[in-house]
Amino acid sequence: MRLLRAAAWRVLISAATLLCVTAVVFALLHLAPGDALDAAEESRVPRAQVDALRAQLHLDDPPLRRYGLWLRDLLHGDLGRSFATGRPVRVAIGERLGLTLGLNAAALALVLALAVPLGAAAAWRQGSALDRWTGLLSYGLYALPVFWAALVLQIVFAVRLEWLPLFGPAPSAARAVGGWTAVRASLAHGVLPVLCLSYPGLAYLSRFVRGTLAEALGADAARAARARGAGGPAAELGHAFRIAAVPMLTMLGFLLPGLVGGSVLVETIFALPGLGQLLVQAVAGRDVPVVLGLTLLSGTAVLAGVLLSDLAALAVDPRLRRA
Amino acid sequence: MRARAAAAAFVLLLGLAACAAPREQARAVPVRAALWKDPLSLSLIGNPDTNAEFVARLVTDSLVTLDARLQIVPQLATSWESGDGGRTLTFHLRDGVRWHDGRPFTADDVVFTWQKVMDPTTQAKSFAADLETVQSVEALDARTVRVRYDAPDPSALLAWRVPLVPRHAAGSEPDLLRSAFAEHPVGCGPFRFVAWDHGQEIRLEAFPDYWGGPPRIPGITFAILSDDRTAWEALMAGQLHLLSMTPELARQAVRDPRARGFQRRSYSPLRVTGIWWNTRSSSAPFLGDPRVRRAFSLALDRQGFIEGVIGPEVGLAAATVWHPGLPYADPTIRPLPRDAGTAGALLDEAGWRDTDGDGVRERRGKPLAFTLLSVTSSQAITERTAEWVQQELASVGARVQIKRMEFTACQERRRSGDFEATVHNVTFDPSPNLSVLLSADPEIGRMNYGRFSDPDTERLLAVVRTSPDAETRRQASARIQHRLQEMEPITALYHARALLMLPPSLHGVETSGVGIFNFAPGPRAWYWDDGASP
Repeated sequence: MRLLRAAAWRVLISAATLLCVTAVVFALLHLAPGDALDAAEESRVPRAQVDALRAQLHLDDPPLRRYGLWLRDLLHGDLGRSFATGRPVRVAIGERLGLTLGLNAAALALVLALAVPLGAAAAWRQGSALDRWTGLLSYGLYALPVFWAALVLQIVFAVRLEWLPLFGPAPSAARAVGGWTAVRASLAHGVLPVLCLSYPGLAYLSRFVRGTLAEALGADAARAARARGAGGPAAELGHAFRIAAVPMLTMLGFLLPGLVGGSVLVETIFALPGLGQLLVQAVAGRDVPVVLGLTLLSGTAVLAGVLLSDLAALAVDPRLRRA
Repeated sequence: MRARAAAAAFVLLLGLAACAAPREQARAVPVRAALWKDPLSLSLIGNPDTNAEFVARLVTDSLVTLDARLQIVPQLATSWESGDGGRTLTFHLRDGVRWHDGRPFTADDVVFTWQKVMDPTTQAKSFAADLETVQSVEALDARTVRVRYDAPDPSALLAWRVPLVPRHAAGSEPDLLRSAFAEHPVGCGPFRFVAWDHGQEIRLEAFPDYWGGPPRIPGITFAILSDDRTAWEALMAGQLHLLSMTPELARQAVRDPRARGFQRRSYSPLRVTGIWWNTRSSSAPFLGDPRVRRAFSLALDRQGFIEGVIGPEVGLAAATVWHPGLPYADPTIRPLPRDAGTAGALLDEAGWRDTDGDGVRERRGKPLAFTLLSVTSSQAITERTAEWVQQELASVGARVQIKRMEFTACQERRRSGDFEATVHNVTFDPSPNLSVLLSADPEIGRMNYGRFSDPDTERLLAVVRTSPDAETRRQASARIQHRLQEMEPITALYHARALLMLPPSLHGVETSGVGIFNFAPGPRAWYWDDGASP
């Protein structure tokens, strides 16, 4: 019951925070020089048409009124239409969300699958050759520029060996066939982008897991477990994971929003129509409805990640519940 | 020993593979080309960014079009005549033309297209600007259209390059940009729209019933590829069939052994890069003095910059903003050679001297210094241009501070006149009417960012805009070009060239000042070489 009350309160706070975030983003866009019509490359447009367009897009209205209009539409479930293309923002985001979500989920799964065992092994054998080599590998990967790594992967696996596609998501023809053909095409097109999306996270997270577990292994509780006879890596690491659960869940909460946050570089290099490119184009074009729609999405993801990690921490740590 | 030999053979094989000729294309496959950005709309006339216009001109036809030499040629109008002292233009339309859905093309579609272009919700931008002087468009019968103008307009015909839109397919919804048509356009051009996967690709197929005969390739697929390195690798891997290069890629094309077997076409789009001087700047009032502007122009070694920095394959030194490919370009006007002596003398004459020996000229205690506004760009050529100007002007005693801003912010500054000087590039229609760049009338000179005003130029521009006599317009155009070199309201730097690469088996690809897609016959004449074709 207490957990439910806490959750309800946090949801309310999150909604208010989200509203503030959209207001701040709107204010920043308003303060930025230029508007959607300045962003249009063509300067030869007749003045009467420019005036009509400004009126149509409410560009000359006071900012508070414009934000109010956006909020009113939002309450009716309408995210508005893109200034640049005239298409509904919901559609523009929706058709890119699946790709971004799929790639980021695969990258996150890969990171977790590799970083946790690597970090645990390094923590268990602190100071060993394994620890030193994983450390070196992690820092090396972390320092590798994504654009360079992407280019090398493309040249090796797509151009020279021709094992994987060079760019783009799975073709619509393959997706239309469905079944194994669609899955195989999606997997093949996803391998290189997922590798590029995951290796910086792998480097960071494996070091984080190593550090957290190393600290937990040296904690009083772990020593007490050993004194009670819990021996061997599985048992000791099991104890260490329980001790380190809260910081790890908090970290997971911060990673979850990344599922809907696109990576501009990877999307550009591999020609993937994801949310990162959409955001960059929208900001450059002062496409306020699209920017606000994406802010709402990413803000919700961040707040949901934090909320979930807080609730998970409450669930696993009785001390937090009592507090 | 055996291992070494195997390794050597492996390396040799890799090398041979790298140097091999481009992979030959399977016969009768659609040509794959790259678009740097997803078009904003495929409504054929609405929100026409460059990429949308490429597609529109393949999907549908116009009344008139351009050939590769930029001459106006008939397309859906077989003939036309001017009347009422140049105030009317009557088009006679081609018979037997059908839209891609089988319905016949009629004069009513021309009337509808004009109405939609002038509807602000369509955001037809340059098309609307081109047809601004039209008073009415009337269908006299199914095959005849009469256009009335407020006043005689010598460039009226060129404006009818506007892509045509069918009333029956696009007329049911009031807002063209938001209509289903904008996602699934129907045209009457040589290629039929098939599909648009947003952000991924656009597929067109040959229209077998095209009035001029079907295209010789089965279709064109545009891949949306914004990364030039990926596009280059795709070309090398045979996943793209033609690529218009950025200057950086053009240099790579010279070095990469894999590019040896490809065909190369270098051409000069109607584009100029220059410095717009703010002639009314309150913070740098000396930029209003033509002697100072001319001195700055004389300080620039354009040829040296092109040969040493950007490469002769991607640049052509500019004399004025008048591109050599534009009608009435005067071949006697040459780019100014660097002449630091004359530049210094002009600055002396204007009262700017280096009195304290710090390398910067002063007048009445104020240094000869200004800020050059430039766009932040991923293209190195943009940044190098600003830095080159900074270095060259320093050599004649001017201090230039470069301020880089993103495009939208930069445009806002230019339009509001809130700048001292700015590096900018513009692309032209093949029309000698450059009033939009130079006229002091704010309704006409919408890109006269530096608020240049000169009665002589104004008078000559009016002659080019309105005179019915071609020779009079030619003479006025030549005098404008001379006046531009005297007054330097915009110091032209270079005309960026484009380099196109394509595999040896693709033939019939012509280039022009408007690119490779925007003229006739354009891609309709392309074909894969099967050994028997011409």
